[in-house]
Amino acid sequence: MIDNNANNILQSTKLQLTPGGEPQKHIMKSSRAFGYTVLADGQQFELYVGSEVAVIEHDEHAKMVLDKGQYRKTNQMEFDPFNNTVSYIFD
Amino acid sequence: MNEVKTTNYYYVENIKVSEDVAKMYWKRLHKDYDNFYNTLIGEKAHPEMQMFGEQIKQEWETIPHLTVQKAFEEKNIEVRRLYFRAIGVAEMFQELEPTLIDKQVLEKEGITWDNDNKEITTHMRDEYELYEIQGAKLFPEESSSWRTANATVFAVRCWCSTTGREYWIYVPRNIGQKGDALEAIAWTVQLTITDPEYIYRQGDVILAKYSTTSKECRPYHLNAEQYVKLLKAES
Repeated sequence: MIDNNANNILQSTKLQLTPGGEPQKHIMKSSRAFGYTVLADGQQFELYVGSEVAVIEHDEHAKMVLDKGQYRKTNQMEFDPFNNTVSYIFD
Repeated sequence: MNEVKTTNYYYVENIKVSEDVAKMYWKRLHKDYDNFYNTLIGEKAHPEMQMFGEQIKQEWETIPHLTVQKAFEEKNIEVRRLYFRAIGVAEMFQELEPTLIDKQVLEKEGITWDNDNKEITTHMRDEYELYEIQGAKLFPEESSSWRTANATVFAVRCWCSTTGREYWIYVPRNIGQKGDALEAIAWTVQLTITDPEYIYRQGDVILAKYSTTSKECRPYHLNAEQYVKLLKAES
């Protein structure tokens, strides 16, 4: 894994997109480094994919392929009607 | 000499509850001891908290399982609300015979990828169902009709397109009251950029691709029209 902090954008060839150590986690991989930043809430990521595609893998879901461009990663939300809060869902 | 049993009290979600109630709530909410420990105590906690954690660990297997039936036997409405929260949306809606409000099928062209990561056009088909449980069913002793109406809960039911597994997601009342299952599932996607080109969904992970006009913005939930238009791939 490569990490540098130029312009606050980290670089890596492998990144876990959701918290926790479960084997099913969403992993972003590429043969060449892609850029990313973690946003303030710790759950959203800014992802910068260059000329080499990045692939997001998960044990239970088919892969997603990201071509060149900028992406905002987030998670689905759920409402809690018993305390009126909204939070991220993590499978 | 008579034995006097003292009861400890805890504040759970700002509600003062007995030790037995707190333990049952924690066990149901956190499902296993490790999750309870990591969420509420953690390795850096004060030694007294560590001792408390060790006590709970010893008792964990003997703490009674909280069921929907047990929740309804609870007379205190605030404690029952806690119980409903811990039980979770799937069991609540599977056991309480909710009312089906709306059912919609979304069919559209999407994409998937082959072994060489080349795009393949595919046909996406998703079913979404919107259900309601009336507040009067959850809290029948409430005398105020306003409070009863505000206790009504709504959830959208959907299925993973890869595994076929069923999911239930609570949505806010103002969304549920629209009576539209697509509006309900769309609400679960909240973005913080304007004008995305498209979105991908892998499980509960959402990826929104920037367009040339996208900008940072305040969080907003998608509506049905945006959801149908933007969803390009899912797994």
